[in-house]
Amino acid sequence: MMDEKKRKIIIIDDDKDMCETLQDILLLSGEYDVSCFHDPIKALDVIEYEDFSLVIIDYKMPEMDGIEVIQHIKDLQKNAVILMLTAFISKDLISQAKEAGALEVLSKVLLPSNLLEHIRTALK
Amino acid sequence: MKKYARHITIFTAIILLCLASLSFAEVPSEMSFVEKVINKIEKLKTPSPDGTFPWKMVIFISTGICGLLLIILGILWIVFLNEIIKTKTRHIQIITGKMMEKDKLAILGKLAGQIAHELRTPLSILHNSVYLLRKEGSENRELFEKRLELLEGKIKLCSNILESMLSYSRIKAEIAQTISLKDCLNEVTRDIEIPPGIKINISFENEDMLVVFMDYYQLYSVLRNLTLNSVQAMGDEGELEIRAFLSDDNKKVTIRICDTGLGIIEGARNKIFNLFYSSKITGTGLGLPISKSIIEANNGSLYLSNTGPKGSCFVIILNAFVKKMRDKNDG
Repeated sequence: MMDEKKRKIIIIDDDKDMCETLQDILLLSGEYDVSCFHDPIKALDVIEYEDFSLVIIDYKMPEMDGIEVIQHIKDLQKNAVILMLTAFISKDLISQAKEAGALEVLSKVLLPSNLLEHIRTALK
Repeated sequence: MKKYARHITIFTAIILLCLASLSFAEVPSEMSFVEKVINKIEKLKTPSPDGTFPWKMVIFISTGICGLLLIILGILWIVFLNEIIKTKTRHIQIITGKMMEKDKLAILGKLAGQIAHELRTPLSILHNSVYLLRKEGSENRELFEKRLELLEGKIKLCSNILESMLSYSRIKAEIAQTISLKDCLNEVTRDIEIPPGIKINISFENEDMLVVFMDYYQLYSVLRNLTLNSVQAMGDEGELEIRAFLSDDNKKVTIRICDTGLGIIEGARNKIFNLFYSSKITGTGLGLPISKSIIEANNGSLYLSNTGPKGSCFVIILNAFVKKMRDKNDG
């Protein structure tokens, strides 16, 4: 049974293992209800009709890159809180992501405990 | 105009010297050049019988001096311009060298970025898995084993990426030698673990003439990569067919590696030779592009011949070594 107090987080990453380990870490914290999507289009269908607190998006995906996904999410839900994960952070990417509407751009090699901290800060 | 200035100067000097030499027409031809000049001057020094101004002498001396001066100027110009050209060439070489160095660094930077990108995702999963193992402990044996399997898989993937990059760096460090395709293919099929349900059918036409001249390690790694891909595409059962033959003119060697796997999906067909593109979960996306680079570096070609739900065929075409040698001997 879903806990009403738990905030809902959506993870969009084409890498199944990455998505699932992130989901397990967030679930283990006991603070969140987490959905994992490998296909951004399917995630956008859910985002359009469901409430959520935060979206974590991978930048490099085959069908659609993270920036495009952020733009679509912002079109659907203007106030959505979005964190983008990337394996290769650059100044350009940070400015593009922030311009599209991401709150923060985080490195994929961030320690799980640090990632949890960033999520807590983003949801304050 | 500036471009032809040297030519105009030399041409003018020659015309002036020709004009001056025309004055020698009335001087006996058996005299040497110096004698002719002295004779001419002596003649011209003699006052004109009608007492008119010695124009002929003035024209002769002035055209001669101008011609000589222009010749000297032309020579100096050529020497001077050559120096300028040499300096400019050196300058261009330095700039080109710097640009090439910059290009190399740009390529290296891009490649390093791509490698870092490809390694960071599995490294991140390793981080996450270790975190989860620490938090969850080993009480749930099934979950514990699942995490360990994931760790092993990702460590293997990182190792594969590094190995493939090393293969790429070896492309140019080649030691070419004559290689019998039969020997190389037999070694490849011996080294690969092929499930018992997969039937292997290897055939060679004119096997003694199926010889290529390239680095053994490179050819072995290409054949191994393609064969391994075919085996993995079939799973536990299927038929692997490897056929090597000479072209009709005996100049080319063709190797066809075909499997009865599921084939390559339509959207992936034009991406399979792209760096870091992989349709396999543990694939690095380096095997096929590196194999293609190796074959092309040896003036050959590697392509996907056909693919579909009944399997795929990859084709390698290389220059045959035997035919080349025969041609040389015949010549």
